[in-house]
Amino acid sequence: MDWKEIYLSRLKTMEEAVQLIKSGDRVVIGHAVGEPMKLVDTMVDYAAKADLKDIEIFQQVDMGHSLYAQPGMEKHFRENSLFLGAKTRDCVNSGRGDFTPCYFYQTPYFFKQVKRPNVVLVTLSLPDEHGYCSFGVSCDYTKPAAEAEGAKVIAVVNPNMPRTLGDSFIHVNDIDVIVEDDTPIPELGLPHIGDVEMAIGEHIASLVNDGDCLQLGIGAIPDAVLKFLGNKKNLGIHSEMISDGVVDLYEQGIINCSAKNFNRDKMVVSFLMGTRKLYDFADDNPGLFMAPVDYVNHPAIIGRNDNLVSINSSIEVNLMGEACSEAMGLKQFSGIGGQVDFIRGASFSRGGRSILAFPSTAKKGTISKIVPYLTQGATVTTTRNDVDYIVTEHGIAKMKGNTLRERARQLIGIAAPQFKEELAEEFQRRFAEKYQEV
Amino acid sequence: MDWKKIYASKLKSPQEAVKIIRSGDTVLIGHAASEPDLLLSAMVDYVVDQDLKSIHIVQQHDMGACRFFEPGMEKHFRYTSLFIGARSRSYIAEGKGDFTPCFFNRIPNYVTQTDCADVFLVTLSPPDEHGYCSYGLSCDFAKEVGEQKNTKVIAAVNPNMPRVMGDNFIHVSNLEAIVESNEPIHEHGRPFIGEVEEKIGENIAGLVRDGDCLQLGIGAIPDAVLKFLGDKRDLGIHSEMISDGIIDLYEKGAITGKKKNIDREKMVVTFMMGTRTLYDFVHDNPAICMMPVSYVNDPFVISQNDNVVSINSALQIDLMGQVCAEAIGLKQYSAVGGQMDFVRGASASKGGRSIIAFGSTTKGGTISKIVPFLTEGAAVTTSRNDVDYIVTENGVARLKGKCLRDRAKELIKIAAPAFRDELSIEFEKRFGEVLLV
Repeated sequence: MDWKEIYLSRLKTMEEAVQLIKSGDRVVIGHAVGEPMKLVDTMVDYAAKADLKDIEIFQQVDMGHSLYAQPGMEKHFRENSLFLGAKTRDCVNSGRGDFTPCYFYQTPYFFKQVKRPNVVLVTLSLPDEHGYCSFGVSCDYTKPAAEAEGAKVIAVVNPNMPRTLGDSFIHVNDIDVIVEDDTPIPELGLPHIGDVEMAIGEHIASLVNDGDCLQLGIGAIPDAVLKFLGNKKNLGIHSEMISDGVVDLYEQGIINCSAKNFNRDKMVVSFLMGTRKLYDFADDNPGLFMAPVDYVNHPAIIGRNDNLVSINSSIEVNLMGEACSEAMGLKQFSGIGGQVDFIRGASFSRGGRSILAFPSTAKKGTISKIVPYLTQGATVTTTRNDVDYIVTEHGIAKMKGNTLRERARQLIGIAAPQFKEELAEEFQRRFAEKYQEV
Repeated sequence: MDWKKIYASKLKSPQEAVKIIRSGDTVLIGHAASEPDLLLSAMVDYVVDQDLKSIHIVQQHDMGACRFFEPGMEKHFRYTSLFIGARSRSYIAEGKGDFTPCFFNRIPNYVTQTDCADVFLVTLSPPDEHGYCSYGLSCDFAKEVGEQKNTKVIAAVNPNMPRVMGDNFIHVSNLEAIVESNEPIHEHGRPFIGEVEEKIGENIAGLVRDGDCLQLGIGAIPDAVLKFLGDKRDLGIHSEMISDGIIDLYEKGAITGKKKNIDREKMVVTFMMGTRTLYDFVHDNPAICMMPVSYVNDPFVISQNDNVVSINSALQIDLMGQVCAEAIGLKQYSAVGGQMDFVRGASASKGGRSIIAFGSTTKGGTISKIVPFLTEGAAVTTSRNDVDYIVTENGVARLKGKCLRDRAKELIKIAAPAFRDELSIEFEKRFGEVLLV
């Protein structure tokens, strides 16, 4: 049978496709904008009507309706998230669902060895002439989960999904059920970059040199950084994700990956999130190499790049340099994602640096994000032994290689002015020395 | 080159040798058992006598007299610890000295990047017939520091320091000054193994299989584990350190290293601490291979062996699995050391497991070490994303791959019975589920 015949033989409607799912199944949903939203909604409908029970849902960065996480749905579903999103936060924090800490680069291992899925729901690009579909915007854990032993893959084949190149393909032979749909791939609005983000972006850019290899994510801060890189040359990308801002710099020739010593001339990425412009740029583009996250985010692989600059964010940092980037006290907000993968990779990289950047305050200046102690219950995402640079709109503080005293001194130096007095009092208590601004 | 002539030309009294030190210098001290008391004492006398200023002492795990902590010494010295010891603990808690967090495998990098060793004071074994002295019990960061162009090595050559094989030598021509010493090498007494440690040892041994490659340290728990491994076969050692407990097991034939993928049939370590019995055992013994810490503690290198079992301890663990192994609240007790190096290496090793083990209570059973929240100010040593097995005298909990709810359940099961009720109350608050203990 040639692949076209196989394709047709496996083609079903959404309603038929979800009937593959049984009570007690473990279901992994494709990551972020790779989520096949209609299929997931259809699954929830079906499970409710058929009164299925104990379906364990694994999803990260949920972007769809996440109806399985709504109150009442715990009759049928158990959410187990490795990275929460807007609609799953409450499910987990109320106790209806669960959260599992896991380094992003270890999530493939998690799905292949620890919690093998019975069913994996993904969105794929159209098959090419050889019968290969691309994982498109979400390679990350999505491809590895689909490859897990015993996993049945239900794929929504969608002409709007870009055909991204790299280690990002699956053959029709390996897809158990195919559904056709042409819902647009979800897009994210461009973030608003205010004065604070601009100041942060400028400070970070001063730490970036020509030829550096960048990791940066999505949001106002990465976009602000990119604005200040216009005069740099030959920048490279080895990043968990990229968004539209990188495309702009690529088109201006500033990002060309020509100075990379590893995977030269290619941006190495594990997933994409942005607008249609990004997805069109990614389509069939050999300048973009998509690979699973146990490759892209493996600290040893990241570390093979020289001059790797990793840029991430945090919610709170204490005076020792411990950073919580995923929770507010006991309330889990997101997940560790790839933050520590890249911080460790940057520490192996010759010339590597890692940066945690955030505004110095939250809630309109009423709460300091530089604190004596993390909010009780707030997990430590990046430990004080891993942390390198901290950046706020007020400047840059270096942690790595510095004593606790020096760390505290530099952190107070970049805290918001209205909080310096109380932080200085803490400084005096800890180090028996009056705090002096450098 | 006649190394004996070179040796003679560099030989000085301690008082002469320390005259190299100038105001503003950073002086790095040999780690743990390699701390050269004679030289340190001479240095303090000289610095005070000459009224030198801003001598920055950098040290990992002080074991000696630390005269530079005496009142008045702050006029001449400042102090940074990379791993707190008996005397530095209160000195630093009072804000008189400093502490820098650093993974042990990155300490050589720290020393070279911060250019912090103008002078290195260390104990070496006497030169062999080729003129090579051994770093003896402390290869760790010493080997790489000794190779730095700008570092002057002042060595206390001491026949009590064993000659330990491996990448663990320095030629006399690379020494700045040599002092001869006969003082006893610092020892660390055999620990007392009580009932709790015995039970923990037994629980850990239940996780160890033939052919495993072990990392374990010093203290009652590692020694208790070793007692229960007598019937295992072909165990290997790739460990930051070993102590006396290993000798019995080696002599029983349980440790062969035959199943290792790298450094087969050798016990690979980066430093040692124990009693004179250990020091005599390792002397000139090719079964031991001392390597720099940037090799031994490199998580990637560690993971090259299959079935790595890493065994470490902790002071507190919270219900998410965050481990504090180095502080009690804000009071710095020790440091991360190699814990995280081996937790990460074991996690990447095929079949690897990391174990963090401790008695479930402290202070005569009045304080639980399994807690809802770490004491305020306590640093997180091993993060919840890294943690794997936790073992107490009450049992074994596997945390890796488990959601927060299941982790808390497992931890409460191995907490001391007296504390399970209050931990269950916290469990219900967090997860909206009643826990039956």
